[in-house]
Amino acid sequence: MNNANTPVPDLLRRFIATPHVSTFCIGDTPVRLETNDPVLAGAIHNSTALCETENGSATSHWKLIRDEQAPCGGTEITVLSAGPLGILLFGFGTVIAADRERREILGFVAADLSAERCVTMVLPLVLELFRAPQETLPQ
Amino acid sequence: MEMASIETCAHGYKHTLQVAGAMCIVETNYPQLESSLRDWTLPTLASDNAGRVSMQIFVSAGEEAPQRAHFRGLHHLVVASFGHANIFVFDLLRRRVVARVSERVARDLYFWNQLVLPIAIGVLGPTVGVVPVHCASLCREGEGLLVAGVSGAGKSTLTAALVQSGFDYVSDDWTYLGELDNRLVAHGMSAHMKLLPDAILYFPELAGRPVTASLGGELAYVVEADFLGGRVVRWCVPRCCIFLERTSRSQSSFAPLSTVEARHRFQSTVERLPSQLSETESTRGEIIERIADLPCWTFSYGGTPQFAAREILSFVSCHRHKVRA
Repeated sequence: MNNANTPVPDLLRRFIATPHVSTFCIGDTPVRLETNDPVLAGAIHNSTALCETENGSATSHWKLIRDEQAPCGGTEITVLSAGPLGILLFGFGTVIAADRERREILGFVAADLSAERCVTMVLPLVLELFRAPQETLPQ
Repeated sequence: MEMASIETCAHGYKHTLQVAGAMCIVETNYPQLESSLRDWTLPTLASDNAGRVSMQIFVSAGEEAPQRAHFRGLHHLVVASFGHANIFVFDLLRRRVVARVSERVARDLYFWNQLVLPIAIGVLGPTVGVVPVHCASLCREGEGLLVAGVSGAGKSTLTAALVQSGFDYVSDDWTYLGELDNRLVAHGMSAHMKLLPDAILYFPELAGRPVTASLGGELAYVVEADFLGGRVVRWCVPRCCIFLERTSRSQSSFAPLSTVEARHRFQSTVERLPSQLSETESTRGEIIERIADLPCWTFSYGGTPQFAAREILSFVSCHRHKVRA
């Protein structure tokens, strides 16, 4: 119903451009990554156990937004798990959700989490969440 | 880095809420949460979750106070965090909220009634046919009135003046519109009225009350909706809509607004939704269509809110036959 020519609010920043797109494999799963952060894109792409897909197709979609306005500070990690969703919180501003049913990883990365720490410390935990069996919660 | 703590939303206590026309099933590990939600709790549990919002609230030990809110959304997920210990994740495709809060926040009535539940309905409402619209809502003798306008147009101040004039208060900023028995219904959350600091010029009753920073960070008097003595009601059936336009002249004028223009104005205030939520977008569009079908006018005015309220009262009284049609 929205007129595409009408400027409308995007208070949640859902439509931040993610021009840095790459495809790779984790294990035997082809992944398509979209991000607004070239450094993060590079760090993920260069990390071990990643390989190029042949035709760019993917069965898992990741979208990671570098959120410069997210609150910084803290190093505590908390994981919430409910049904098909696993949610990892790092510090005050990094939130990454793994939707096992839809094969998606969606998240906002705070400015104080470096690309290197994100790749070496946070994403492995998110991948664990992604692979974990679903909780048996009422739907 | 602290050790990761793995927490799964615990259960054991289940409640059914009715909030702004939407049914919510709440599951939690914390029995005292019911007390914070009591204004919205139904006496019986819903038999199933179909067509309802499901909320799973994990309360962890701790006294962490809520910090300033931070909102983000991607695809079908929306995150609202109030510091590390207090976080809500909204899944719009599955109509589900997963949250972790501290015990302190679980006991905080203001947090649930003035922040979280309005936010939850604002985010998830469209998935169950309840659309948040940026307008005030009032009611007089059974006739509902929507008052829309851009931020700063004076919705809240005028709402306060209309309450002084005998209107019942439903909401002053966000109204949640849905359908019941094929009627358009406007719901409020009994949220506090937020009046800008200069409102004291028109409402001396504000003297002595503190000016505080609201959720958006702006300074305002945050006062009980009945502070002027009016009645607060949870819902009304809107019969017409007025779009406020401030002018510098101390006079007023009404002009009819076409359905097309009214629809355009409402559409321009609602948030873009991603392609994953096309069904929600469609539901929201249908409700907005019904709102735009109401008799709508622009109301250009200057002068005091009390003057504007008198003009509206007079206009609405004269047009009753039209708004009832």
